[in-house]
Amino acid sequence: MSWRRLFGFRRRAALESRLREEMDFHLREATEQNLRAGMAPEEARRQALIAFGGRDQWSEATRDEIRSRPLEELLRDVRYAFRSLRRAPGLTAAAVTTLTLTIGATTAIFSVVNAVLLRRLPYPDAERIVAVCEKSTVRPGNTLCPIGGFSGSNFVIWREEARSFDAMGAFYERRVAITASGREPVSAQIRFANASVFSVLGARAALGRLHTEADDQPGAPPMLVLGHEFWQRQWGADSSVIGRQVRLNGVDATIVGVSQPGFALYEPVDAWLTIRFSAEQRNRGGRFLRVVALLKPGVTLEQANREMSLLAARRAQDAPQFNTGMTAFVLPLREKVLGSSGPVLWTLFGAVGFLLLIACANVANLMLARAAARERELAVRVSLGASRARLVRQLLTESVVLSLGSAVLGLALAVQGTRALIALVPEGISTHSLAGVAVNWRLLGFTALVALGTGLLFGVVPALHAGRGDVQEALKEGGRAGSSASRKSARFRSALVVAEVSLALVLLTGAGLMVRSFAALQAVRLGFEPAAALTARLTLPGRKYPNDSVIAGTFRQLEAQLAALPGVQAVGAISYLPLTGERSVNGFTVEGKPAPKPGDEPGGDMRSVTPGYFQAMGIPIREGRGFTADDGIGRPAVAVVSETLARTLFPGERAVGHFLLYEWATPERVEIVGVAGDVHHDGPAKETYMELYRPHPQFAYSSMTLVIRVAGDPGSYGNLLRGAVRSVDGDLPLAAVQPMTALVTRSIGPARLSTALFGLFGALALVLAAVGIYGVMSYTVQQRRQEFGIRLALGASPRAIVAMVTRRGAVLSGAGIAIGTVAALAGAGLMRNLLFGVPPHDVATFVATVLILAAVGVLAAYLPGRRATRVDPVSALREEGAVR
Amino acid sequence: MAEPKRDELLQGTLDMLVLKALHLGPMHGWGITQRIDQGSRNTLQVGQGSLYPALYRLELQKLIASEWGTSDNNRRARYYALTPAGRARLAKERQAWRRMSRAVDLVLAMGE
Repeated sequence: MSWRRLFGFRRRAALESRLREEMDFHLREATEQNLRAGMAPEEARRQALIAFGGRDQWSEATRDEIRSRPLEELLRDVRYAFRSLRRAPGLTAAAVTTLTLTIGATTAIFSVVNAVLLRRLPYPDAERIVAVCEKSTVRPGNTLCPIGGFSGSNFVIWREEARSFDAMGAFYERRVAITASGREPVSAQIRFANASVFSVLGARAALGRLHTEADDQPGAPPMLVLGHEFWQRQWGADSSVIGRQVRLNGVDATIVGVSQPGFALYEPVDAWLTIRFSAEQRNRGGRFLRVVALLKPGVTLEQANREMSLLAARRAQDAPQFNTGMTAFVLPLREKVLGSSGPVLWTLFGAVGFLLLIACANVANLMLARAAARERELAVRVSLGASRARLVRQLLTESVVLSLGSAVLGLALAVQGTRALIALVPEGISTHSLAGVAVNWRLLGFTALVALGTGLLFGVVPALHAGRGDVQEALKEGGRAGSSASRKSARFRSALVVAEVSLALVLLTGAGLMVRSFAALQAVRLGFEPAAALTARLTLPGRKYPNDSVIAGTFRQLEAQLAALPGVQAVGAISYLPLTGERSVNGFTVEGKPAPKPGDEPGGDMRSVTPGYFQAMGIPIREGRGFTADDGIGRPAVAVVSETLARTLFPGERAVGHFLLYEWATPERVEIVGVAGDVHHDGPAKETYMELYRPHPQFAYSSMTLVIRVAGDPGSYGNLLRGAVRSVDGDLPLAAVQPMTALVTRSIGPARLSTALFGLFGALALVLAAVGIYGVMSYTVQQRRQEFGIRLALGASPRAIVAMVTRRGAVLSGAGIAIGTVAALAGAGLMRNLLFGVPPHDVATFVATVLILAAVGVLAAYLPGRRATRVDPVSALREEGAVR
Repeated sequence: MAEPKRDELLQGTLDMLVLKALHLGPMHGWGITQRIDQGSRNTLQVGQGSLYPALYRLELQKLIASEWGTSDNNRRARYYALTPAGRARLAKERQAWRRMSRAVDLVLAMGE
């Protein structure tokens, strides 16, 4: 009401005119009275004016009555609030800490989670976009359809037959050298895609046009769409690029357009080139594509899945050699993109909720403790005539001062925290650019509202109570926790603390499990030595390096140059470097063993390596030998296999000496000459696969990743590496020069992020629980000062007092820990999918959590207990019954 | 000590007098000064400079309420009336005043 009066300008104008009118009336009446008394009109008016006094002066005084009063009262309330908050620094600090941490940290954490995982995919019909995948029905495998698992022939056929989709697009990626006339060749990640990919994603061109169906026809000239960033980086955003010719690995292509900024699907690529499936594609084997499709409006996932499995069954009959034991299914693109982050997301959601609950319990608790401590003060003020409304306003002001202060701090924390957390987000796990990620204001508003609402609610309740309560009783109680009302609220507060501790235990257990899991992840031996290894991607343009022997010779020459550099200890190269997610899968059979059923052939990764690779990567040769310079073109075809392959295909016998048969461009028969140590190619959390290494000259790739093992910091060898490559061919583009350790770090990036987030939640929960226990115990100590004083005066030892208080705190936290442990045991199973190398009911984690929380609980009670012993008995007793 | 002026009122008493004046029935500001003047047999003259602030203050406290009305000589005037809360307050103040004045009288009568 005072606010309305303060700011109601219209009302103020009305007031002014009322004031004026009243004065005029008054003046006229006075003048008339003077006239009746026989004065002359002039004199009557003059006398009336004199009696009236300074008109401006008293109208100002009247205005003051109306205006300044609420403002003054507000200021007084605020001043009073500050004073009374200062009088209870412990409780105030606890409440401010709780509110600040809650508002700030949850907002920061959630802003990042939201930006990384929750935001809608940036496509117009995102809800209808699905990934179409094939999987083996025989070998239970990855249901998230791995990169490059889709058959070209099936795509061509199903695109015509499937009725569930408006459009269906396929693509794969290759790194190529792009040469524009008059420029140095640059290495670029190219996505070969048919035009439908653009229509599925609803993409539009920023410049020129995107691919059309006509570009997809066999025999159509290759058309290139540049990614916006690549266009800016390489062409300086020159809009005249449209229509220009470039060479991609020796093939001419025309630039037709530039995509919109930020347009991406899965991993970012530099440019998009048309795929032109030839007629023969229908009869080819091999799985190398990824497929996305746009569901027709109204078609459900189930319908699409039913159709795809029917189509797959038909293909298994029509082309059993490629399709037996395979089926197809669709997956919402969102799920595919989120991948294994999904469960993390939900768990984090739960954690945010838990933390908010803890915070609310904490704030409620602290406010109630404050109120209880002031029961007498309020009672005194009621007896002195303060109205309940006045008290409510007073307490409300305090709550608002407290809450607003904390909200401001929380906001600062949210902004800083969001920035700090974004730095933790690994590349490639987000579907969006994180550059623009800011605080999520809606969530900030929500947390602030919840936290402040709790504060206000529990801040004002006592005032209502005080107004209604029995003043006499409260005064007699002298503020001691003895009245039935305060006993009841003490019980309620204890329950809140117990709840808080149990929630904290659940969060802390989760955090502990995540940390243990992360430690296990880091402890995994990757199978190679990432330290001191520098890697760089090198792609030889096809026109200049037309055949395998030229390519192989160039790499051999280059390796020799690099090996001669000072500090370089070993040099090698591989077609698909570990931890890049790149692979090429093929099926093969063992010569002399019964042929497996179709669809059940063992499949493994095919990787081409140069002789020095194993040494440069630090991969041990377990059996037989590695490759040598003698394993060249025209020499016997040889292979080195991984331990997993040897173990799987040759259990109990030596793999070396056996022959493997497979079909690549032509049928191949290769002899196993060695067994190399297993390598976690997809990261520490992923299992090791069957790997088939072939010597580079016999299985030449024009695009290889160089690996050099050096003495000292690998990062400092970048320029030496570039110089050596230039000395071989000045036009060769070198890409992705990075230490192997960077790849390792990136591969555990998502785990690092979720561990950091859970760790934060756990730490916050611990702090809040400690604050809660501390706050309540401090209050109890404060309330029982007189009792402690008497006890001390009667000879109780300070230790006994401390023990008494601490025991009370221990009982509360003990109850919370017991309940929390049961809840955590029940809930831990939900985290199973998030954990690596740690069982959800990991005893060590649970024991450690319980111990930590118990220790914190005891400490948080011990500190106030210590204060209890410092009570001066005399002053405590003197206070007894004193009315201030 | 200077002789107190005729119209100088003990602080806090003005509110009580205004309430009392309105106890007789709704009245406008001018009329209230007249009532107090007459009631005190011309001893207490309420200065307008303090009357109107007091009226506005009392209205804010919901002890009195006001509305426009017509005066005896047919002029538009703001009429003030006592609210139940004002009535209660008047009773309280009156009691307090009696106690106080009796006490003051007793002190002044000491030794007489």
